[in-house]
Amino acid sequence: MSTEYTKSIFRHVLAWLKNNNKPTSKIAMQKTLFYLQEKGTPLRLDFEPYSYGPFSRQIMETATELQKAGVILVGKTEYTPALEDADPLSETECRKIDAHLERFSALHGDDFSFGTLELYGTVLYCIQALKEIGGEADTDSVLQEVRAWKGSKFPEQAITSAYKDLSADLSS
Amino acid sequence: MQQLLKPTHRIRDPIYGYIWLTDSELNIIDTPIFQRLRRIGQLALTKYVYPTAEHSRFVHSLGVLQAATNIFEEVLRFNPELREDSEDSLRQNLQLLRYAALLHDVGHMPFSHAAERFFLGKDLTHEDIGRYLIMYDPEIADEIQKHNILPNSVANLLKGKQTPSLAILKKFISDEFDADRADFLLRDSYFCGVKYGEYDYIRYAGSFRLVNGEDGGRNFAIEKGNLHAVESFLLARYHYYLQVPFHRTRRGYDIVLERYFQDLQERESLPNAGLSIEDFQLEIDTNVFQFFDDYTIFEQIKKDMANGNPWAKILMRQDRLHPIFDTEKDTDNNENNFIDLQEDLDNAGLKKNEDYFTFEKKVGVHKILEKSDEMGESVYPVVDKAEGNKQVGTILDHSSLLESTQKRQTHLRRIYVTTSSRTKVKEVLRLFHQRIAAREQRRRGGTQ
Repeated sequence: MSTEYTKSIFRHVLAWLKNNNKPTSKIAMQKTLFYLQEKGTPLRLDFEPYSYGPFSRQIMETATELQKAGVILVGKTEYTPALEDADPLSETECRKIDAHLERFSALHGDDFSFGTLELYGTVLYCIQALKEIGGEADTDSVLQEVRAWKGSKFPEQAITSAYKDLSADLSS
Repeated sequence: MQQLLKPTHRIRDPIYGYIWLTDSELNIIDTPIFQRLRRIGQLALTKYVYPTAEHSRFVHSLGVLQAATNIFEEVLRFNPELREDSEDSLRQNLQLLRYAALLHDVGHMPFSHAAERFFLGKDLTHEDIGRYLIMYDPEIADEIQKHNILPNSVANLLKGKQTPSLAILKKFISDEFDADRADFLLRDSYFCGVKYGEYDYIRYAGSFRLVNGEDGGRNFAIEKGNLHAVESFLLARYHYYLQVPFHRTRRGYDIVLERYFQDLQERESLPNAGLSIEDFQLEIDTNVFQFFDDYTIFEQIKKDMANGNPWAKILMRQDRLHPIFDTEKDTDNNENNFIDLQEDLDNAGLKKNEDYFTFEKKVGVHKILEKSDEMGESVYPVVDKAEGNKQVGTILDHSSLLESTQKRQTHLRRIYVTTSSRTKVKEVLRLFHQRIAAREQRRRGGTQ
């Protein structure tokens, strides 16, 4: 069972994506929520390395709960807001979350395509996983981990570029 | 395993015959924190239903180490290319896996899940406690470090992020088809004396392959010839859940345990577990935690029973809850009756969670569909050895049984009442059943 806070953030992010003409895809929600959590938003979600980058089963469960409540619609690869109701977050919280969302969007040049989100999600996960187990999260070790996960799917230059963007963002 | 880790100690076990252990693993087992698991029951109060279910988290933890090793060995056997990795690397991975398997339940509370929210709050689980103990208990962490393994890597296999090169190991101990479930199904069935939970372990342990994805990353897959072993495992788990942890009488005791813990919390009398949690920051006093076990709670229960606590009396098995409503099928009729009866009980002046209790749970044969990813695909690939272990689809493409059961769930709905409420409940039930019979009669009349 997801917390009310997690549900509120889910709804806010989905509305933000829609209002900013971004895709409201499942991968956009997964990777955006992962970024928010890594930036300190206490979502209490567990992410694991999956087919297309970090993936949280709890996000799927949250979506199911919100669908049952009639708040969103769950499609095969996308979510759609079903209600145009008031934002569940306070004004202060909205400003804080929106600042993260704008930053996340700017990091990958407002590109919310499947491949870009998969790449940025994967690189961010590798950086954080290396740090969490006490290892060195430098370019080489991140590159090695992305390769172990994704093989040759992404060119080295794309991985190192995402790594530079994300590590600068994490240290800011 | 014999060649890679050279274990020198063996322990008798009814499931595997012998469980082989290294010096290092034995050192961890001998720590007070691990020995504590001898005093945490694997199945809480299931022993009030199946009297021989007296086994502990301690023996289950040893079993998971053995099952994880067996599955690892079988993957190596059927993936000869993996044996080309250096022996040091394989040894290191196997040792890391075995430490994680051994320690996967080290943070469990007494009576396991019923106690968690009272001692840990809503944000932490036993896995967080386990992580902390693996990383900060000096006896455990130092022993792991002696073998050039970071305690964080072991801890993160249980909860947290894993580097992708290690993530595959997590699937051996924490996934839909993992060593944890592999062991508890066989062990709990054995100790309960039931057949629900049994499956073809040897075949099952050899069902998995590591395959390279299109772009070179490695994935876990099921070999097509073993689909029946995997189906049998999932069916065994389904029946086990219904007959053991969700057994009607056992669930009644779980409800009372939670009610008792709530009572202790309200009286600010929860025993000291040695845990402090502030702003999501956990601290554990291991000198206290090592003695925090089922006996700690039972000592409290005995005292409270002597003082007339009604929940303690039930937990000492001198009283019980009485089931008055129990349905499994997910129908509108069952849902309406479940709600109606609760309203009737309320109207008769009975209080929920004092005089009567409800239990609701959906149990499916599997959750494979829920595991679908952002592309809307099932993520359990099937490979065919006849085609050189080439991926030939997903498990749902190949198993009619699993495909047909993916949306079918048993929906348990139960109502229990206390002994002191039974007189009032008798009249409520008489009227309730009368109403159902009249409704049924009208329905039959309408269809004639």
